[in-house]
Amino acid sequence: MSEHEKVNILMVDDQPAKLLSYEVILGELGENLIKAGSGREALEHLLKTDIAVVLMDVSMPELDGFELADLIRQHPRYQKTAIIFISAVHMTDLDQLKGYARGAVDYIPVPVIPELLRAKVSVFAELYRKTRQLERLNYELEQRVEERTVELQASTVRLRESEESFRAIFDHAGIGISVLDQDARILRANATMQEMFGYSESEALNMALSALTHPDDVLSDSEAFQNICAGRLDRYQIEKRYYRTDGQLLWGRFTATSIQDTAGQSHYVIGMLEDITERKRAEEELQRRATALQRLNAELEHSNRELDAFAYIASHDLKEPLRGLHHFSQFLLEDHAARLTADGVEKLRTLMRLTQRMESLLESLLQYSYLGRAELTPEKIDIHGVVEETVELLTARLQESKVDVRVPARLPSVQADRVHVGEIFNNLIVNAIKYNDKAEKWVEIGCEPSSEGRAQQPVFYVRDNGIGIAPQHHEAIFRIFRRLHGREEYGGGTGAGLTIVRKIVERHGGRIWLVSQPGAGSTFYFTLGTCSDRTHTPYVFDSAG
Amino acid sequence: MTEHTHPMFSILLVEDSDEDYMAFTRALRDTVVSLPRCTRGEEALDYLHGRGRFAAPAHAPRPALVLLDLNLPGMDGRELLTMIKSDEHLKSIPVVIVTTSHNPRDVEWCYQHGANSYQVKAIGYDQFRDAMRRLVEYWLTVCVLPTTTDRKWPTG
Repeated sequence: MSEHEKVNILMVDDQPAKLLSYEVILGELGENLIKAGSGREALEHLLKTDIAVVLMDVSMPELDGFELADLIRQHPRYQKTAIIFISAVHMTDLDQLKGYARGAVDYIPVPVIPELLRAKVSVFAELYRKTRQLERLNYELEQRVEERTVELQASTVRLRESEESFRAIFDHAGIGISVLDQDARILRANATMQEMFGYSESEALNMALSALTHPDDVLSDSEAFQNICAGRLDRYQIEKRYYRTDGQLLWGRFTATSIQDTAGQSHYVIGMLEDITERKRAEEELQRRATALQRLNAELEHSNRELDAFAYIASHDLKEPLRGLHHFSQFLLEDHAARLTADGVEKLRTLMRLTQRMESLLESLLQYSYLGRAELTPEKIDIHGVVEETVELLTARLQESKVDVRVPARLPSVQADRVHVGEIFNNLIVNAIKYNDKAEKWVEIGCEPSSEGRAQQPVFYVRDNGIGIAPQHHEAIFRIFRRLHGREEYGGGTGAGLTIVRKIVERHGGRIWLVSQPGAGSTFYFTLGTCSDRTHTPYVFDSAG
Repeated sequence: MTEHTHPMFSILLVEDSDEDYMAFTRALRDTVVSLPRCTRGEEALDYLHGRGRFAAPAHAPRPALVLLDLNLPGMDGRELLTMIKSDEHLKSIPVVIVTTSHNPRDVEWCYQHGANSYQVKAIGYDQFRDAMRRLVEYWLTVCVLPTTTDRKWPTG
């Protein structure tokens, strides 16, 4: 009800003239005036319309004013409605009391003073209007409070759900999460963090993070932490060592993130800690092993080098006195032969032969040790050309021994050291020439595609129809100075050729093996290792047992 | 090559082995060559510079050729070669390396550092003698050597 809304005033009197006079008197109030000629009519109006003030005559036939007032009051809507009695005859104090008991709020005696009537009605009408307004406002307020309450409840539920979900994330996160104040004291710590260190949350509370940190690592991020607190840095990450309650070392990756207010001031710091102890241990172990391996390698390399240098220097220095022995035997023969018996001369010649043999052995040793020290210069070389050159250099020996050389197909080019590869073919062909007792001797040089590995690595071979090698000797033949035959048989030699061949092959990262049938011939296979796969050995030493 | 038609040549032999020195002198005993010998690198430098006990020119004629063994006690043959070949007064003297080593690295190194030729001592005396005589013949009769005036050559 707005401030100027009209209110209804019900006037009840059995005398139409009186009703008319009231209408005239109250007309200037500007309210709705409703007239009722009897109590019954008045009740009808009251049921249909909201009435602010009832003005009624006490003495009416059929239903008098008091009885009507009783009825009105019975209706809950009208319990507090203003009822003004107008009475000419019953205006005793008792009557007035009777009227008040029925809820009347005022009496107006007859003759009615128009100003008085108008003033009283006006007051009650205004009161009604204000009351209704208040009621309306009150109702609206209640409505609003209720709405707000519902909203608040919903938002509380949402907040609780969100809080619960964040709590769950916080507690069950795979990494330790802590909330730290500006002095890096723990305000909160999640379950993982507690578990990580072996503290309960209450134990961890207010503990400084530095108390859990390895003394050497405490200061490593203090500057960064200060920068975070001062808002100069949003986050940082660092790997540090911590100690658990049980004294065990814990390697952690610590990530600090600042939580700031709108003014950019750091409220607190979220510290996330990831247990990287296992990773660190693995890294350390790996590092330790790598270092050990490196040291071993260095030692091995050093010792290999020393061995090579030793072999080189030893055989080199041994040669000098050997040459002296040889020369002086010769001088003895030249200068004093006349005074020697035939037996003495023969012994001197044996001495010279032995020194010469010693010299060849030293020479082989020198060559072998030189191979270990020499730098390889790998380049793309045409193996076919290398074989042709080697065969040409051996022409005299091949013709002398009547050995036929066969190269069935053109040999490919590979990455290798030209001089050394020539040495391989030279040694293998010379062996093929030497160890052959057939009437028609031949040596075949060829290449087969690799059957092993992904890389197409050519396998070269040198095959002969010579005396062959028994399986139990297949390994021994590669040992230095290891000979299977007498010194003077099959053209002699120091027994270093295959050792040198194998060393060259191995220095190229390749491997060498042989297939042989005693009496029928041998085939030496080798690769020059562009491929690192050296695990598989096909038919070497198969029946070596 | 006879004693009467050729001047006496001096070849400085830098060799620490007495046995090898004997083999050298034996191999060259029928030639016109004189073979002064130093056993150490430092001594050879004194000789070539005419210092110390070699101060008198008659005691240390400037050699036509230096035969140098690589393995010497103290300053070794490689150092001596480097010093001769970096000395303005000495570098024109041909230096022939005569050594036990036929390690390709030694060969390469010596030629890189100015050796005029490189010869390996053969174990057989006959080959050794032939090689030495050919060496001397080549350097002293086939080749034309630089003439120097700072030190006098002794004559026959």
